[in-house]
Amino acid sequence: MRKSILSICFVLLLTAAPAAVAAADEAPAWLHQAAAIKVPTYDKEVPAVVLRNEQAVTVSEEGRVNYVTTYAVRILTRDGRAYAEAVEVYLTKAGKIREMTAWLIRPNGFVKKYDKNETVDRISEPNDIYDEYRVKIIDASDDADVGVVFGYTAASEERPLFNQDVWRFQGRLPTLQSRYSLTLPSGWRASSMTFNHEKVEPTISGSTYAWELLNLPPIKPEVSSPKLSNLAPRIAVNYARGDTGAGATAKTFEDWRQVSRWASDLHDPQAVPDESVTAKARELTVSSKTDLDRIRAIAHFVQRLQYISIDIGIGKGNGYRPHAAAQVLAKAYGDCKDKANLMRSMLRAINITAYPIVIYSGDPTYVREEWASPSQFNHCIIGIKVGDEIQAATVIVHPVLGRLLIFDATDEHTTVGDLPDEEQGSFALIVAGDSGSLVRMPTMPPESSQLERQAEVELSPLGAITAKLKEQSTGQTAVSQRRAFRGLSSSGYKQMLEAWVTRGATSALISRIEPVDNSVEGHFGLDVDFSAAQYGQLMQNRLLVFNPAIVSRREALFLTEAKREHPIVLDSHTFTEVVRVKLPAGFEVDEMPDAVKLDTPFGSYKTSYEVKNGQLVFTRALTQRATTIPAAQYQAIRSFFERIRAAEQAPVVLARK
Amino acid sequence: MTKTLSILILYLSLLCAATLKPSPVLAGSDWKPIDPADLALKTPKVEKDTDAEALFWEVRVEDEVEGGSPRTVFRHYVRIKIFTERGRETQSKIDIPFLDNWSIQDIAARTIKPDGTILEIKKEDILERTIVKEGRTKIKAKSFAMPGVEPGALIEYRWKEVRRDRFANYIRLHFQRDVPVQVVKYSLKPYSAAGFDFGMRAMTFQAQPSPFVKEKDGSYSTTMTNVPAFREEPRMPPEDSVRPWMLVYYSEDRKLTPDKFWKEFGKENFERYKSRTKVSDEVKQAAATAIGDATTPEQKIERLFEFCRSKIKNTNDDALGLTSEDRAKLKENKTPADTLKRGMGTGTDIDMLFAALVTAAGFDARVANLSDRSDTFFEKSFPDDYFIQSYDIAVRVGDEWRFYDPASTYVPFGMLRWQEESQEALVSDPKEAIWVKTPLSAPDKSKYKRVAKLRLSEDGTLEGDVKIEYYGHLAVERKEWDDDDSPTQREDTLKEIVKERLSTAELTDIRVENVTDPVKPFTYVYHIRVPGYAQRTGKRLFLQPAFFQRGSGPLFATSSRHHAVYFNYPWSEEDEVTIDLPAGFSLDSAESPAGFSSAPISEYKPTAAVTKDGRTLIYKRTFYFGGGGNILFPVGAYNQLKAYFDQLHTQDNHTITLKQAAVAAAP
Repeated sequence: MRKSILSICFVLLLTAAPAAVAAADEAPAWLHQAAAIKVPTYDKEVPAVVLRNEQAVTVSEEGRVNYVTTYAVRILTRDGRAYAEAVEVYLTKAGKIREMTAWLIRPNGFVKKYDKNETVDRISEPNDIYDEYRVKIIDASDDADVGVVFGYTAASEERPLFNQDVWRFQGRLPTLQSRYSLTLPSGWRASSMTFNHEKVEPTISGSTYAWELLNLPPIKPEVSSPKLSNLAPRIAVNYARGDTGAGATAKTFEDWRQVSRWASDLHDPQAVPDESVTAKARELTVSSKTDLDRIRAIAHFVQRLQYISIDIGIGKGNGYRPHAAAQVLAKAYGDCKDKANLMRSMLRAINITAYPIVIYSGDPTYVREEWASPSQFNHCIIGIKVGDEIQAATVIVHPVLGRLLIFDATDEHTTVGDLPDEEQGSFALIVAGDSGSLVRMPTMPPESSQLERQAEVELSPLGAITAKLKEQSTGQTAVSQRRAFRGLSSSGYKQMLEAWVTRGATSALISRIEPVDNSVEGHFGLDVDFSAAQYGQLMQNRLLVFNPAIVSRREALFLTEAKREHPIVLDSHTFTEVVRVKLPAGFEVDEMPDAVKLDTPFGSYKTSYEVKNGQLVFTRALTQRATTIPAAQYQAIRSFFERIRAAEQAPVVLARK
Repeated sequence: MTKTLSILILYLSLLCAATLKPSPVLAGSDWKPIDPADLALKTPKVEKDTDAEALFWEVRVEDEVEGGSPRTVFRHYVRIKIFTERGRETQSKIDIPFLDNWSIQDIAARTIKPDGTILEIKKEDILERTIVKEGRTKIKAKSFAMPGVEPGALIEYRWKEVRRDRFANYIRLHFQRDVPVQVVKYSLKPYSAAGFDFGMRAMTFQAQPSPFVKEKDGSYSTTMTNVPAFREEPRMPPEDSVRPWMLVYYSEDRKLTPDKFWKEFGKENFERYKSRTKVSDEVKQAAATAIGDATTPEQKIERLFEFCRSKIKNTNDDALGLTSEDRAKLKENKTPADTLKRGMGTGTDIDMLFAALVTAAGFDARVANLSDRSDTFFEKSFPDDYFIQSYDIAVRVGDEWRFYDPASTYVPFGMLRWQEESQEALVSDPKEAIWVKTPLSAPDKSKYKRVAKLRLSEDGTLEGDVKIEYYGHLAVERKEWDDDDSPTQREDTLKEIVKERLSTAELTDIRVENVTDPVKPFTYVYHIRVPGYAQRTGKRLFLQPAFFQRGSGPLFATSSRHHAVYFNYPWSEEDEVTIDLPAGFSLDSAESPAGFSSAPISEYKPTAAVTKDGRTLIYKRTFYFGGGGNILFPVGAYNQLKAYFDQLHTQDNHTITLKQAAVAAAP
């Protein structure tokens, strides 16, 4: 609710902006040159094309870095007007934007200039209370139309923590010229790595390095596509003094061990338990009999602390340093590293060793092994040293640290022994001084994220049904159920279930809802009883037709586009259902759908129908494996899900005896 | 200060009043004593199963003058009991937004844990953030997180908010929060001084708080107890017609009865709009030309109406594509002649020109004020013009007043925006208060007209051509939605609408027609292919002939309801679907779905038949709802209404069976 208030404030303020009246402004020569570039013909859905996207970075001996951004975009459709916008992010305490100017050139040559009077300066994330990130925005979308060229330059400065940088050559828009240049003090050297593209070699002129790509095609958004960060080309750059390999005031890293050492220095002092932390840890585990019980008890407590994002003192490294465990315990809130650190501290208080693990949440393919840099991470979880008696899919074996149970103390719905989908399979850094290293996080097998449903149904001669559903889910499937159960009010939860049931059985009346959340062991159970008056359709008082797949599987992938450009990313889960329908007296099965059996490398699906003792038993089972399927196999995967959809709509026909 | 900024301030006032609700004067670190019973409370008192409940919520509103400038001081104080983790999640982050000329002072907040431990928020944990800054204008917020919140805890916070340069005039104070409240108390202390002839007044809506009591400090307080949380529901009346709230405003104590007030207001309006509707020679000439050979009053008015819509560009219309720069250059039209000469004007200019043209044609035309029923339901027993800020042009034809709004580009002649239909309108008049209820358009005025010519394949694929026309209010909504979109966006909107029902549908040859045409129906034309539309078993195909309803869920899914059900306007549907059946298949069962009626409110008539050769299925369906002006249904009627729409959904899902056989049978 409060987020929406702030969002409204933005909208209102932007609405309140006085209309700028421009008269015969001048645009710089570079923008006129960009505007003169002949643009290739794109698909009609491409809203704009970036003519020039350039960042010139100059590093001083003292470690100050100046950035000059030069950007030009041509608007191709009315949807594209939104791209006539300049956005620059900065940190209030560690950097500033010295200058930001934009211009808009209409097809008739008229130029409008935008400067600080039209610049909006706002917080980056309205919902975060403690956040130093801000953005400056020049929004010319109201003035833009098809054919205009919008461009801007921005000059900013910053004292970065690391002598490292990242340049993304494009977003989703096609980009004709994208260039990153780095000017270093005399005697310094730079090196780079290229991701999502063949190696981009820099041109070197004196102490200036420049990386450039031309004519990049648009990146179309598609359902279940890899993230943009895994599609758009980017480079990672390291720079340092040539003689010592060191930075001025900022850090440089040669390998992951160095990153681990640096991060350990930030984390370790904060994890020392004081009396309050020790007392709380003992209180929570007093009745625990095993290490697993102790870990679960502390995990359960930490997960339930309020999550508050705290981005303060980022420029001083606070983005990587947790608050002291005792402080977080006292306030009962914190961000991901605070929670991981508190859990680590509490475990230490009861003689269990744990290590912070930094990871990128949101795209398991984002972190690249070849670039040792803390800036690849945005999240912090924990690895707990465990003995052989603890067996779980989230245990990894580290060559030096031994068996580690991986756990996310921030995700309040994912229990010990499981890991959020978006973290599975990702590279992550175990922060353990010299012993730390980059390791791949475990990927859960399909059977660890499972939904099992049993349905007992009685069908009347007129088509009415009474049904009792019994569901048991585990892993990430249980997480999504738990999230709904805990995230909605009781009436909201009931409404959600009503919407789900009535989507399959119109006018269904739910008589019982009984959720059972076992958040310690990670199970979620749900019983739902309902009745629906006209579920089956009686035809000419002779045939009774009904669909035994009464309610949906809860999740479905709709691949409806005829063509595909990017791979298809699937997560892993399984679903099984057994529906027992007691048939009405005086009817017999006239026709049943054929059983379906699909088996592919990415998943399998089967249905069966059987009539026995006046009962129809319908089963369906889907197993989907976490995988990324090349676009070339799109038709196969589309057909797989199409056949599932068709199978689940197939009716059973009963006829009067 | 710009008008927009004033509106912004008003909005922020309302937002803050609505969300960060108010309290009494407390000096220094004084907190109200904690009742151990509240700390021990295990279950909510007002509503069961709630996640958190406010034990009290107090707001003191005081108008004063400081340094010669007016200001309003709000003192807010709220205490909330947390029952669940969800309650902790939703209640423990606090944002207090404010503008440049406001200030937030004296914030104090604390958590009382279930064991009685008190955690006070520290000054350094309260952050002032500039949410957004543009030029000299800023919106800031004081933000903080409550420490140590857990189920069973009490949280409480208070602050002082000073809004400069205005009094609490026409502000809405709500009694409901996002959680239930045991006691809500508002204390109002009006400004008074010698020579200040305005008194603060309060009018409550959907609420019966206690009578105002004069307190020792000169303020007046009112309380309301056991107020449930506010919940939004689909198809509910406008929020402020169901939520309890209070309008606070200043007015002179003219001791006017509502009748007298409206009479005077109508009279003032009549005088106010005289110059704006002035008939000049140019206007007379334009009226005569536009009327041409029309003879009847209706024809004449319609031609003048169409003249205003087609010849005068509405500069408020976003589809005109004016940039902010273009708008800034526009000159103000002071008279109808100016609007005529420039060929463009604001919505007001166009309405005033229409009034002048109609007057020039010999009719009695007046400006009529009325309320907007998307905001709240109007009660004329409240003698104040606050709620009747919308206006149309009333034209006397014979013995009746008819209402027109040519400034609403897409509203058909003879209709008003739905927000202004079925509303009491005050026709300006030099002598009397003339109240006339604007008509509510009948269901047939707002219609979906859908035609599909399709072919079914043996494998269940359905393919063919579709045309959908939208009329009346339905067309207005579609046109408003699409008119500033690109052709691609319009196609995408259509694809989304169709794929929401038919996930496998493939649409080609899409045409979106008459999007900005004020008269013609908004129209979609497209070719569609839906693999797996009909379900195939060994020897049968199951076909749902209600093609336009296939895949839609029931209108009402939930079994319980808090608010009345409200449809914005009556509407109707007229479908014709022809499906060529696959060779080798004949009808096994072709019973028509059953029609039903609840006339005059609604009627559903479906029919299914086959051509003589048995090769083509013809399905027709008509439906209307809201007949007789029935668009508002009390909560008590919910089950009946739900059952009616469930029945509609069931019949729309009616399936026809085709069997692999040689002979076709007529139903």
